[in-house]
Amino acid sequence: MYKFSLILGKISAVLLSLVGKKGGSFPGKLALKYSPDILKKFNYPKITILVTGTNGKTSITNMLSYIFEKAGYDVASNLGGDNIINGIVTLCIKNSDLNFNIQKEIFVIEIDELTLAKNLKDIGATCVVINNLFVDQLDRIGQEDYIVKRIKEALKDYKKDVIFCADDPWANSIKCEDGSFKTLNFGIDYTNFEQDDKKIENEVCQNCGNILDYENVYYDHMGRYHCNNCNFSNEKIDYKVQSVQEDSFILNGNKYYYSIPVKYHLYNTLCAITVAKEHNIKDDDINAITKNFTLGKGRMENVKVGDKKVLVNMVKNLTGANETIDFISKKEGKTSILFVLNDYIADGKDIAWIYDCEFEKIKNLKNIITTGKRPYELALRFKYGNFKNDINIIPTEDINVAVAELLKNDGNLYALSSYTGMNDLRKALRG
Amino acid sequence: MEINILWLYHNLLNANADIGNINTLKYRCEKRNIKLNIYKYVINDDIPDIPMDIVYTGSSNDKKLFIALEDLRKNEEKIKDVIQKSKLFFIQGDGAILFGKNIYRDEKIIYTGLGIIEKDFEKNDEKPYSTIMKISERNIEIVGFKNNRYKIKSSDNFLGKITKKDVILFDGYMDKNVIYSGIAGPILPRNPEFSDYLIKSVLEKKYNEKIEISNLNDTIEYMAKDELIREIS
Repeated sequence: MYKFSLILGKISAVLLSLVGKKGGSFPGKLALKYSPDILKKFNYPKITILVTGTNGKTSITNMLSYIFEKAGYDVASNLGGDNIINGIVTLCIKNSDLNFNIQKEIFVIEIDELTLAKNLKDIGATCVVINNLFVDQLDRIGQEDYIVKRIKEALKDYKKDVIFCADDPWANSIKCEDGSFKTLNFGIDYTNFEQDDKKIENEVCQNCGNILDYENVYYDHMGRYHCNNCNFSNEKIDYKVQSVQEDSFILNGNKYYYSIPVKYHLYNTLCAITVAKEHNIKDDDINAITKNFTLGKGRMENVKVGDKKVLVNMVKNLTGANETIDFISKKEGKTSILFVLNDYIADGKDIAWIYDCEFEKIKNLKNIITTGKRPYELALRFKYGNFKNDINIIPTEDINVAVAELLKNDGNLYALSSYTGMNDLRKALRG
Repeated sequence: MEINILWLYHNLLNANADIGNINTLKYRCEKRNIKLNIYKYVINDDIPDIPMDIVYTGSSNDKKLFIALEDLRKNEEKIKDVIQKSKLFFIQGDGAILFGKNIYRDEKIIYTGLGIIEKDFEKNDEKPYSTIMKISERNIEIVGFKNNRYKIKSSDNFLGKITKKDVILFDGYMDKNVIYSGIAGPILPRNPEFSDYLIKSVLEKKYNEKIEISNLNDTIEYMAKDELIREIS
C-alpha cells in the first residue's frame, strides 16, 4: 500500500504541475489517505534538518536552503512554508525515487511545532532546530506552554542533534536527560543589545515552576534570565553574539550580516548561521545569503503602489505583531495601518491576542483600516484602546476598499495581515 | 459616581488578553462620567484600604494557576474579605478553580480552593469553541470563545445555557455577588449589553438606588458580535 500511495502522490504532483498548479500539499494529503504513516518509509538524506518554532521558520528554512546551495549542495526544501504533515509528505514524494530514497544531499524541512511533536519518530532527522516557542493558537495548542511538553516528549527517543535558542526560556528548557541527543544553543551576550522597556514578572521556570528573574528583556519572553530556585538560566551560550550593529553582528569573534534591522530577524539569521556553521559551511557562503536575504511575499516586503510605498508584513500572533509594532513605532511621521484579520483554522480561531498587541506604542498612528473576516472585532480593539490621540478607525469587509482607504494617506503606510489573508492583501495592493 | 476595580493577578492570570475587558469597562464608564479606578494586584501585594466594587480575574496555564493558589493561601483572609465585600466578583476561564471548593482530576481531589464559589470543579475535555450563551433569567446573550480546562461538577446556579449541536450545556456560575463564565478573554467589547449590565448592577448595589445609564453608539460592537455569530452559525 505504501508504494501505491507514493505512486499516487507522484502522479498527482505531475498532473498538478501540468495544469500550472504547484500542488502545495495535495499529493501528500492523497498519499496519507491510504498510508497514514508513510513518512517512516522514506530513506532520508544524511543531512535532514527540521526547522521549527513559533516564528521565523520559513525565513530560517529559506536562508539555510540557499546557504547550502551556495556551498554547492543539492538541497530540497519546502520553501513555500507548507509545514504540516501534508506538506512534508508532499516534499518527500516529490524528491524520492520509487524505492522511497530521497534523491538529495540535504533536506531542510520547515515543520509546524505540533507536527514535529507527532511525527518526529517517523522522520530520519539528523538535526532538530527550535528557533523560539511563544504563545500561539491557544485554541489548537491548549495551555500556553503545552507545546514545550509535547516537544520534550517527542525528543525522548531522538538520538541526533538539537539546536535551540538559549534566550528563549521555553526552548532552553529542552534538555537531554540521558545523553542520547546532543544539544547546542545560540543567543545574545551583548549588554548594549536593544531591550524592551517592559518588565517580565510572570514567566514560570519550565524546570521547577518558580517565577524567573529577568536581567534584560529583549522581546516577548526572550532575554537574559535566571531562576533563583534551581539556577536555570541562559548563561552558557555556544554560539554567542558579542556585539550588534544595524546590519551585522559579531558571533564567536566573527562578523556576520543580517538584512532587516529588527530583533526577530537577527535571531532568525543567528539561528540559520548556527546550523550552517555546525554543518561546516564557510562564512563567505553564509554572508553571501544573509546579507541581502529577503523572503518577500509579505514578510517585511516593500510594495510600490503608484507613487506610494507600503510595507507589508505577516502578523500571525502576538509576538510577531509586537515586533512589527516595535519596528513601526521607531519611524517618525504620520502613520496609517491596514490590518487584515482572519480567524480560519490556519490563523487560529481565537484572535483575543489582538487586545494584548502594543499598538499604543505607535505615537503617530492616525488611521487604522481593518478588514478580513473580523474587521469589526479589530476595530473594537482600537476603539477601546488607550491612545493619547484620536485615531480614525475604518472597518470594512472589502479588502479593495481597505486598500483604497490606506492609499488616500501620506506618511508611513503599513499593511499587515494574518496568515490566510496575505495572498488577498498582496493581490489587492497590486490591483 | 465611581467604581473601584481590583484586578487580581493581572500579570499572571492573563492568558486570554483580559485587558480588553478592563479597557471596555473604563471606556464605557468614562463615556457616562463614571470614574473607574483600576487597582492591579500581583503576588504578595498589598490591597489598598478602600472598598473594591468589582474584583476581577482571568485564567492561565496550570503552573501559573497554582502559583496564584499558593499566594491565595498565604493571603486568604484579606483576599476573601475584599471579594466578599465587593458588589461583583467576576471571573473568567480557569481562574475560577482557585475560588471553588475541591478540584478533581480522575475522581481524586488534587487541590482545594478558597470556597467562594460553592462548587467543586473537574477536568473538562471539551476542545475550545466559539459559542453563544444566553444568561438565565435575563435577556442577555454573550458571544465568545469557550476555553476552559476545568468545569463545575454540577449545573446548579449556572450562569447561562449554551446550545451545542442540539445539546444544551450549562456554563458558569452566578450566585450572591459572583459571576463566573467559562467563556474566556475579551468578551465585554463585543457584548455591550453584558458590559452595561455589569456596570449598572454594580452601581445600583453601591449607591443603593435605581441607576439609569445613557445609551452609547454600539454599532461596531454589534457588528463585531454578528461576525462571530455568523461564524458559529
